[in-house]
Amino acid sequence: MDTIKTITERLSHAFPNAEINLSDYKHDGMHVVLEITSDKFNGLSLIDQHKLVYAVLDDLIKSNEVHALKLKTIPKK
Amino acid sequence: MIDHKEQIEKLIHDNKIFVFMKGDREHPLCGFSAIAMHIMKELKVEFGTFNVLSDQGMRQAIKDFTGWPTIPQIFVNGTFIGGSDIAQELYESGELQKLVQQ
Repeated sequence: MDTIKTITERLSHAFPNAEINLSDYKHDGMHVVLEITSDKFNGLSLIDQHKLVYAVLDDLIKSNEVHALKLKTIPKK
Repeated sequence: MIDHKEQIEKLIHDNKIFVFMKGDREHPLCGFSAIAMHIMKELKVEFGTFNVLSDQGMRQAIKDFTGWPTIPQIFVNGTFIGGSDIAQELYESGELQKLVQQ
C-alpha cells in the first residue's frame, strides 16, 4: 500500500491545490485509477497533461511498482 | 541491426492509424491494449499494429521515440495521440472520429 501513499504525496507536492481521486482497485498498490484536476493542465493538450503526471511517477512506472495506471486529467476552471 | 527509429517512422507514415501494443488485434495481452483495440474496431478504419512483446528493442524504442512511458501507443496520420485513456476520451468526445477522417 506504500505505493499509493507515495503517489498521493508526490502528486500533492507537484500539483498544489489539485483535486486528486486515487483508487487502487485490486488493493495491491500496482493497479491505480487516478483522476486529477489541476490548473497546471490549463491550456495543455491531453498528451502534455498526461506527460506532466507521468513525469512525477516515472520511476514507479519504469520499475513496475505501478503496473497499470488509468489516468484522467482535468484542467481546473 | 534493425534501426527501430526508422522502422517506427515507416510504420506510422505507411498506416493511417498505427498502434504499438501488447499482443495482437485479436489477442490483446493487456487490458489497456484491449481497450485500444476495441476503439480502433469501432472506428471502422484500417489500422496496423505492432506487438512490442515480440521485440524488446522496439518496446523500449517506442517509449524513447514518444517520451511516453506506457503501452499502448497510438498514432493517427503519423502523429502520436497518446495511450488508451486519451484515445477513449477523444473517441467519446468525437474528436478521434474527426481525426481519422482527415
